[in-house]
Amino acid sequence: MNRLEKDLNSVFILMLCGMIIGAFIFQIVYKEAPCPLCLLQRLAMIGIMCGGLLNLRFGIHIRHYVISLFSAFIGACVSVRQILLHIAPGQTPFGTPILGLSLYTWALISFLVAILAIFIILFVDDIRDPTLPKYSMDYNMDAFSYFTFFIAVCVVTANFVYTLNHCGLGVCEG
Amino acid sequence: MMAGIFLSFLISMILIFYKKYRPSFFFIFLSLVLIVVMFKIHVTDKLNLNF
Repeated sequence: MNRLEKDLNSVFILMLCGMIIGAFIFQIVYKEAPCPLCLLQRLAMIGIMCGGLLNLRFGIHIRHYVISLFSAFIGACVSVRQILLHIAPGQTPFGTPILGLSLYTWALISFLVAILAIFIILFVDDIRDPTLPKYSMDYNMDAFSYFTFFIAVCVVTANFVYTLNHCGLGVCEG
Repeated sequence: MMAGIFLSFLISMILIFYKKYRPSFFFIFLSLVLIVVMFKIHVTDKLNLNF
């Protein structure tokens, strides 16, 4: 994996972290407690991030992209479910809109963009080469990759602590 | 339950960092299965969840 691929993976992960941090700031500033579907969308975004982190640590492999693709698909399903719940006449949108769209609509757009990006990567790249190893322990991370790991772990830890505090160990009822 | 999924992802990230390939996959798949289960519970409203 060359430097450009590493950096692009890091940027992709940091963009997802930025979206989750943005939603986190929203819930603190506007005091909007996240709904169960919102939490599931965040979890799906973290699942996409995991594929990128696997790429950073073990090198690019198709199974890492499959994890990201599957997570994006689940996230898109959850977003569509939430949009359909609020699209009926007389229903008000949930939460404060950004640029005219609700957070779950932006989440759906981001999941669809992620799916499209992964399709393009799988189509264009030559990672289907059967001579490539399943994974490699030889990859050394640079400072940017360490920074990416640090931010990702911080984001997940913050969400874990908040969700544990807000919902406890049971099912989150919003 | 939701916190548990976040914890599972956190564990998988730590395992990825320490180069534990297969264990990290176990926790990632566990998280994804739990997300699907939670979504299914929400859709069927068996627990009368509100959003």
